[in-house]
Order: sequence, then C-alpha cells, then structure tokens
Amino acid sequence: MDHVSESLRLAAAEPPPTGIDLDGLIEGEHRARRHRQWFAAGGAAALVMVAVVGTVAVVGGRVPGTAGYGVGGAGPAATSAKPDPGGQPEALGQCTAVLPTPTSATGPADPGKPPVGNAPTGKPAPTEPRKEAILRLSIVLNRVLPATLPGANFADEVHPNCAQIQFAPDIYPALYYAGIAVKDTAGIGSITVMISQAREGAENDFGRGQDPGSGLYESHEVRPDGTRVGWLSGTPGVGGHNQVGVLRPDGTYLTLFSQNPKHPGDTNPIRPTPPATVEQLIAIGTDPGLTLYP
Amino acid sequence: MAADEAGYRDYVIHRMDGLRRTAYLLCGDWHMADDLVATALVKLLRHWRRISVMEQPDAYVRRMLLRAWLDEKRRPWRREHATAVVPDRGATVVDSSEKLTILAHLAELPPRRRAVLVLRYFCDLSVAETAEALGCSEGTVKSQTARALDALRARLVSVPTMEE
Repeated sequence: MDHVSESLRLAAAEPPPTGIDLDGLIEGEHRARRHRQWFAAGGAAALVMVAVVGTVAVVGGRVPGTAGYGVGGAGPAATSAKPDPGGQPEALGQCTAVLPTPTSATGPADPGKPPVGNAPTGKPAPTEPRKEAILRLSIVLNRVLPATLPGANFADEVHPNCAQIQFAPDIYPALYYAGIAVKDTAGIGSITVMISQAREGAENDFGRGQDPGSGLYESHEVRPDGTRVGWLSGTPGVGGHNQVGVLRPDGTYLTLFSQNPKHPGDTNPIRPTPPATVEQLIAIGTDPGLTLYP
Repeated sequence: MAADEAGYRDYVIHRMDGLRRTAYLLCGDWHMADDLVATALVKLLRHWRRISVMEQPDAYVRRMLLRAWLDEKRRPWRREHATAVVPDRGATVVDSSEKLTILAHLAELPPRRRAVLVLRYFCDLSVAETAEALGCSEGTVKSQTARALDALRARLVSVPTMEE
C-alpha cells in the first residue's frame, strides 16, 4: 500500500505557516498554573481558617453535651489555636539526605520506594536503595558543582529550605532530579541534573549511524571507555540553554541542562549566558561518582 | 521549572511539523489541525516532567493528539452529516487533484478508521503501535485497516480523479 502512503504524504505536503504561538502557549499555561496555585493556596487558607474558627467555637464556646469545655472561656481557645510547635516536619525531612554527618542520615531503605530504574534495557536494574542513592549522589553533586563552577553560589530549587543541593526522590519515580539555582557576579541562571537508568535504544539519542540528524543531540562523541556524550546549545543570549547527555556503559543515563531564562516578573538580573557551558556540563555529567551502579 | 521548559520547547520545535501534518490528515483542515496540535501541546506542557522521561514520549503525544481529535468529533456541533456531495472547504492552499481526492476519501471514513490509516501509512506505525495509540486490540487495528483500505479502494475505483 505504498500508494496510500504516497498519497497521504502528498496530501499533507506544503503546510501553511503555523498559527500556533508556542511562547503564548507556554505563557498561558504558566498563567493557568499560577491561578491554580492561588486557588489551591486560597482553598488551603480557607480550610485553615475554618479549622481555627471551628476550634475556637468548640473549645471556647459552649457546645451542648461537652461538659468542661466551656469553663476556660477564650483562654484555652487561644492555646489550642497556636501552630504545632513541631513546625514544618516535611520541610525538615526534605533536607535529611545531605547533612554534615552523612552516615547518620542514611536510614533504612524505604520499603515503598524501590531503586530507580525499571526500563527494559537488558542490563540489571540498580539495587541500591533509593534513600542511599540520593545521599551518595547528592554528596557527589555538592562536590562537583563548586569544583566546576568556582565562585558561584548554588541553591536547591526543589528544596529551597535545604542548605545543600540534593536530588529529589519523588518528583519523578524513574529518575533522580536536582534543580539548582546558580548565582554569580553575572546574574542568575539554573542547572538541572537528571539521572536515570538508560532506556532501550537510548544510544539513538546520540545519533543513528546512517542518519546523524535523527539523534537528540547536535554533536556527540564516544569516549574510549564507551561513554557517549552528546550536547547541544540553544539560542545564545537570555533564554538560551545548553544541554548535555551522558550515557555510561554501565547503563546510567544523565541529562543536564543549563539555562538563563527570563520569566515574567523576574526582578533578579538574568545572566547574559547560561550559567554552565557545554564543557562544564560535560565535566559535571562525566564525574564517575554520578552513576547508578557505584 | 525552567529546565523543563527548555526541554519542552526543544521537543516541540522538532516535532511540530510532523504533528501538524498528522493532525491535518486526521481532520482535513489546517486551522483545525493547529487547534488540535495546540490542545495536545498544552496537555504535553502540563505533564511534561512525567512525559519527558518516558520511554516513548512521541507515542504519548500522538495519543493526546488523537484523543483531542476524537473528542472534537464527539462534540454534537462537530458531528459529521452524510451528504451526497463533499462540501467545499475554504482551503488557503491550492491543492492538486490527487491531494483533494485522498482527502475527500479520508473524510468519508469513520474517525477511528481514518486514524488507523493515518497512523499506519503516514506515521508508519506498526499494528501493535497503532493499537496502543488508539487503545484497542491489534485485531481491531487489522480489521479497521482492511475495511478502510477496502473503502478507499472502492472509492478510488468508482470515483474518478477530479479533473484539473
């Protein structure tokens, strides 16, 4: 049925210029997301208010059939309305992967969270428990970043309350993700590091032999140890980005981004270039410590 | 997140053309094709973090595009009405006769049968991949393909190519 294929291709040939405004589409989704967050925050605030008012009503008021609760008047109500002195247990918990004493933070493997990597690659899946892998990889990343980008300050975009960068365990089930805000004398930008088990056919991202343009990356090289490194650079200037992919022979796949995006409402000076060059991203991504198979 | 956005932008720029052509073959109108692709791209952006790490993000995006189109077809004001004559379309591009013929014949097929043809013979998907995209069994894809081809063949025989 080659004739059908040819006819279909002919019918779809010469498309007119697209009416799709990608920038507008992205901005519209950002706006919609902000609205959703406001509504969610508003809903949460309303729930808190209802809870507080309800507590005041129950503890401070005179509820029929609850002898003793009405005695204290407004005093007990004020006490019970205070926030939990434990305070932000979730935020503190987010930072436990990287602490000055790593061994103390290495808890037992989380039984509900198997190691990442279940792609059908033909290679054995990593066996390292997720919690331990996050700790190990985060320590490596905190060492490699300042060594590669001296003089820059780093902040964890995913866990803004944490003092050190750490891979996030729960953003994606199949990979470890670190979002890093980079600030130096030139301004701010961001770096993203994602580590996963390579999927089947991942080597095609680095270009198929007969069709070099089919790969994800513009350029690539195969190192003597078999590591494939691919890279591409987006538009220079603000809004530019560099991207690097590293496929290790052991089956670890790293994707690294470096960007200097300008978002609506940004008041910080944006770097004129992404905070890390392709070479610097490659230096980070090829660090032997960033592997799923230590 | 910024990194996600750059990855998304890169992905879309590289696939936009193919998605538009696929959508055009499904719906037969470039404006609606753009609408369908935009709908799919918004959904893609919303779930980009999850989709970007999938083994086959293209298949997922194609599925969103198909769903957008099938949803569109289900809307009452979009339902097709059988007519004796294929209505004129406000095409902005001068079409060749063969192009018009195949589009007219495609337009006469039921939506899912049309989708099967486009996926199999334009997107070059296998039976299994087409079944996954449409959420049906491989047997259904085979039978739909056969019926669509039969219908197309019958029309190509009975309806002569439009004169220039």
